[in-house]
Amino acid sequence: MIHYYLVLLLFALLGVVISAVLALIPGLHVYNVIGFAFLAYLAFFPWLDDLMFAMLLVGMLTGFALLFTITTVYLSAPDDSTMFMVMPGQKYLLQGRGHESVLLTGIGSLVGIFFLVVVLTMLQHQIRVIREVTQDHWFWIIGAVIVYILMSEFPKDFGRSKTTLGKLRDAWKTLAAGYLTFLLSSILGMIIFYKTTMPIDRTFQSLMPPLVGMFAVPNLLINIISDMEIPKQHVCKSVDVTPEEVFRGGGSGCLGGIFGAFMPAVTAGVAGLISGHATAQKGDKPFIISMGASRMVYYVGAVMLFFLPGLHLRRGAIGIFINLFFVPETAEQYYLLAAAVAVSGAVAFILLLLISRSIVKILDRVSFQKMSIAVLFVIILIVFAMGGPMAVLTMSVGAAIGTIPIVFHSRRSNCLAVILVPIFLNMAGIGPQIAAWMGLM
Amino acid sequence: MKGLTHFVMGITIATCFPLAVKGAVTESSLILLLGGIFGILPDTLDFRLAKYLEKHDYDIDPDPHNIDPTMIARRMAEAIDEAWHTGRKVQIQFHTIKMSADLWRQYKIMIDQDNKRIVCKIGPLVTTGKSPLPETEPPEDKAHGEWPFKANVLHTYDKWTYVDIFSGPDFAFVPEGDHIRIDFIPFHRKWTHSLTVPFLFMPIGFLLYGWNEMGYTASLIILFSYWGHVLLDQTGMMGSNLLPPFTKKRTKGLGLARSNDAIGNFFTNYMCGAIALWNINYFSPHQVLGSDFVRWFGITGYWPAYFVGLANLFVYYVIPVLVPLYIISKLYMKYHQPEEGEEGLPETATKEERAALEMIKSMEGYEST
Repeated sequence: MIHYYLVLLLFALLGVVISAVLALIPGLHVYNVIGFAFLAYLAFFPWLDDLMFAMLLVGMLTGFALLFTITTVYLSAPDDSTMFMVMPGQKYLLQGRGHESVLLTGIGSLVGIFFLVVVLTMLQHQIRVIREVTQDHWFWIIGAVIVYILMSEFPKDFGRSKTTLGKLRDAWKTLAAGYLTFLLSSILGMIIFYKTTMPIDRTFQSLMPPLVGMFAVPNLLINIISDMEIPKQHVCKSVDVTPEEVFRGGGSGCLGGIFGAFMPAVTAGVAGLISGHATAQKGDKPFIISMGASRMVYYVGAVMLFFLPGLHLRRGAIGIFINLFFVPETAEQYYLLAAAVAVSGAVAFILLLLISRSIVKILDRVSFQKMSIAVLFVIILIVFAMGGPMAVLTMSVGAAIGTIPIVFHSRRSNCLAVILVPIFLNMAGIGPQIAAWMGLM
Repeated sequence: MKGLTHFVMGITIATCFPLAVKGAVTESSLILLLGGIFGILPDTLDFRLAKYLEKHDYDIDPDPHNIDPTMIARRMAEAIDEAWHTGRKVQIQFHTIKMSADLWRQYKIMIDQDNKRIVCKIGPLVTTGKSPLPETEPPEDKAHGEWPFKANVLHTYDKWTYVDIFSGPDFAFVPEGDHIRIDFIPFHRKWTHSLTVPFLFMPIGFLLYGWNEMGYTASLIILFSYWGHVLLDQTGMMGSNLLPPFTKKRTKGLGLARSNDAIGNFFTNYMCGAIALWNINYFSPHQVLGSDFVRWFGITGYWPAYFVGLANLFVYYVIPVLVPLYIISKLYMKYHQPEEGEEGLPETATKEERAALEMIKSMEGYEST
């Protein structure tokens, strides 16, 4: 039996190694890769033990949750879960502290792993109860997240206008841009949910083009247009962070991550933002740590909630994919999963440090603008390969929407209406009517 | 408290209405969201509307390339004296100094009421996260300015006011008896943070749900969630004008917590979350957590069982979490002296200056992310 366990852990580690390569390709989301891995599994490895393949996917997911930090910080190509990290991440990069930013995110991810393996495991009973109590209420909780996003943004710049109307106009510019972003994202989301632009055999990738367009492309365009150059990066041997900052950032991130993993439609970025507000977070370091923790708990927590005995909550593509070929049944499998997450996380953290150091050396030699052009080219190529010209077109629409908040300094979280609104409307039972009204059905 | 805390508290208040919870489960009603909306509305009104309705007699907008601290101090002193001589309210707005996309020049103003003078100091460049950049302070002779004023003033807030990121603060100088009362950010917590204003919003409940029990419930949710915000804010440093048009002045807060206080916000959110969870369980058509144990004590009534169950939840899930956390945080604060230079201030900042920064944050009371 022990050999079997070790083989399972080896598969998880193999997943980490695969993710170490794939996470460096900007724009490629782990769920895209897992989708294709699943197709490959059915076609070429049907003889493989189901749990072994599940562990491979879990290893990939854990590795990806940590290693995607590299593309976010160094290449400014975030996804929906790392979008808020770009600002502080790029600030650190411009101060020659990109590696430190990566380290802080890694520390946050380790806190997230500790939370998943120890705290979540201890709270199994409570989570089952919370699920049972709240499951009839998820639709309005998602509605509450939407309302909060819309109501909590305040004007950031005070105009110099002398008249009341002029002041209001200056102040409401950013708010109006935010609402426009929200509206356009909602419409795009409805179109994607009801009339997918992807080929029929790749509909599971439907969200990829708009998300890449909204979160990765605008940053790259700004990098290219602004001809930004980054200073020589300092590879620090230690990181200046207090236990209080780790506790506050990590705790807030774990809260946000588990909220996102538990609730449908709520992704790590927005969940992290909300938990940051709930715990009155302040400062760049706790923020970066919280984003690392939130992302780890969001992605890997989704699998753990699926494996949790008596719960089997399917959240995110990972739970859905695994559920296609494997149904967790025993507590033993849950504890094996927890062990695999712990080991994969530790190995991924070491890989993160090594890869970050190597990337810093490359960054010192290559122009940041040229690298941004190359990354943009790779992203377009991947999207085209996934879904053809329609996917590229959808990505372009997403990019146009995602550029609005950057230009007008409004919140990027408004873009998440692309996921939140269609799911909320469907769960509230009015999605089909609105889709019909929009001519989508 | 933070906007989210008010929002969560509003929703929690909404879950205290059995009809609203039942409506959410059986009719997919969104009535509970009214609690969140009206829970956060007072701050939304202040920072999206009331702030821009203020008229300022003085606008201080320093030249980024030639900042004159004496000019800033003089203008403020003049504004105070104008209020003193004319007997009318005078308002002054301080604008921030934006240097680049993420850099701002910090300056701070002190109202020295004992020596009757305004002191202005130009500080370092700070990021939007309020982190100062080292060695960016101007030379001492260009960084300091002061100007005397004649009026007797009553200034009840911290001595120093910082002007650094986004929009700057404003003051109102109000003649009051033999002195000038100084109101910090006078637009905040006036009519919007009162117990009387939500009565104006109550008809929205009837408009949305009709002249029936549901409409009545929605109106009460609007009223109580708004009141929840106003009352929760009384725990801070600054109170509010509670009963306009009968009262005119803002009260002082209880000073129990600040809006950006992590412990205060977390405790409130955790407690609200626990209460909301109990409410949606108890008032739902199908209860998951039974309260049969209550009957062992001879309690059979609907509401007595509710309260005993809620108390039970506190005993098992609220007190064991919050009490140790409170003790640990207090011990931590007792034995951990903040190092100079923390909290985004120059290393030379005094404890008083730090308190002032905290004050400003507590006054702002909203998130900027």
